[in-house]
Amino acid sequence: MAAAPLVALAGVRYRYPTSRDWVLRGIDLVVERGEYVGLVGTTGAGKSTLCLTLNGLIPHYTGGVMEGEVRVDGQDTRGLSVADLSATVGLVFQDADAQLTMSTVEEECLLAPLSQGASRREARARAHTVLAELDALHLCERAPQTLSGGQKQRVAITAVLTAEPAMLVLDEATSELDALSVQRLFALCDRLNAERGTTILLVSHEMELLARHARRLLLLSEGRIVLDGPPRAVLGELDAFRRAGVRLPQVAEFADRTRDLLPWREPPLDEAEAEAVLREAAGSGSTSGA
Amino acid sequence: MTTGDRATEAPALVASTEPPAAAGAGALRVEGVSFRYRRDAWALRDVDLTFAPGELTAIIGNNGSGKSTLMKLLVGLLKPTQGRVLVDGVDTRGARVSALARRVGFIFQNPNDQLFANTVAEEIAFGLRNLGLAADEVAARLEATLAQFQLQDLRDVFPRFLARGDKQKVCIASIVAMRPRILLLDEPTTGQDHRDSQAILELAARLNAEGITILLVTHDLINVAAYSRRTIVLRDGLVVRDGTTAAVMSDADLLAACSLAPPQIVRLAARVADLGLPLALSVDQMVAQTRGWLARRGAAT
Repeated sequence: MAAAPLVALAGVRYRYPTSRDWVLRGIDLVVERGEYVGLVGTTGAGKSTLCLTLNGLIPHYTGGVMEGEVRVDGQDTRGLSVADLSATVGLVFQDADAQLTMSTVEEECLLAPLSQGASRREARARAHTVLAELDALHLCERAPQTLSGGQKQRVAITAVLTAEPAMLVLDEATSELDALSVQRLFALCDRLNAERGTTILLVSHEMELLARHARRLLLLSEGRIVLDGPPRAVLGELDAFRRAGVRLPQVAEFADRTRDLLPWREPPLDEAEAEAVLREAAGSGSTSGA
Repeated sequence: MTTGDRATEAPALVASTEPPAAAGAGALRVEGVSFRYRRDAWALRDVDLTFAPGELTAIIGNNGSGKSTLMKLLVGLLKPTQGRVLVDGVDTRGARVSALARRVGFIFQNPNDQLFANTVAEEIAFGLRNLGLAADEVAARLEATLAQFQLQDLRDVFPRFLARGDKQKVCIASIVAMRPRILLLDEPTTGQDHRDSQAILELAARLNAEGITILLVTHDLINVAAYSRRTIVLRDGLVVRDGTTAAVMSDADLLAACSLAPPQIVRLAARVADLGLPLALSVDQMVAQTRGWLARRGAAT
């Protein structure tokens, strides 16, 4: 029998206890092991709410009304505790303050492996490896509350990664990172995905990086998934992005606005692909491939 | 030829490097300013900057570069350890923050740090009453501000219940109502989606067009490239570059040294510079440059 998908949502609707409006309005989504998914949408589209259904904080902690079914590793999340789910789904919040509780960065990062039964030595080794990858090893002795926003985000990510979850969900965890740290984080996700087979779900406004790194993009609008597919196919649906109010990667926007001028065959995923088309136009001496 | 040279060769799209002479309301001068918090390392060192009335300038730099410290010095929340800051000629060392607030308005990064009143109208009226204005003047400015920012329908709403973009709009409205000649925006687009970011920056550009001096602290280089003509780069408390946005964006090495990266469209323009395409700072410019480039090629063949 084939293994159940890592995550499967069927007909999921959800509304918070303080609201009459549904935030999620019928989500059907299957994520298989080893996928690398980018999730985009405007503020209020339901991205964070969707993330919270994956590790059971919805419905266990938030109250409100959830309809439909969320299965993680084949099991209905209603029958699992958040602690059970945290070993499978590691969620990094947008607001790192909501996540950091210990007195030092190192203690924060030891929490998950120790609670999983790792020895202190093994836990430290795991924590230090990830801290080094995120250029945060020097913060070990610091109190998380004294760190800058970007540093807190790096520590929150480390703390989740030390649990070695099968799926890593980053909910806009890059908003306060500088460009170099963001690139480093995407590279780390690439490595986890390639080497450990970690399933990645990245919620981000970094459209240029998502287009290049993710292998599947979801566009969420008003509680519904309106686009779902490989980045190149999804980024070709410009009208859906505009309706949803989500910015396209700059080269995809450029390609769309010069489609009568340059020989585009498909949306470019990065500047190298756009460069190739401009060189083709320069070489041909013609002003249009159309 | 460096990419910086190319930037100055696109006069139609890149504004003059020379700011207008600093005079009158809306000018800021930072003269030989160094600052440190107690006995800590220097947060800012030997900073000399002039902001002329009506300029829109971006200040960029990574975390810890001194951006926030500079902002606080400009509104008088911090006083220089060395040197002086002049707001419209007024030395901040001898001025109260409340008095400086008439001249320079500060918009917090997080609207929740600023909003406190029970209604949008009350939020806007609060600052006006603090200025000591007469009741009828407060009422008149309130109505004018609500209209200017199209907030009439939200006047009785509890500000904290508003959507993030509207919260930011109320913050800006409550400051602009006090008619400062200078507006400081601290990371106004962080945590905002594309639609809200655009709305805030369009608003800033409109206020700038009305003559308000604007300083924009941000790490959102796509918007810096699209909106500001002048960019100041801070690193470890030092001003490492003060020039046209085009020149700064063209200097990938400088940006990398500050943990920043030029926008994708700037990187594309740099890669195809040898084809004769001038530098572009935004998608709009790249489209225009490409049209011009193709037309020139068509005319040549």
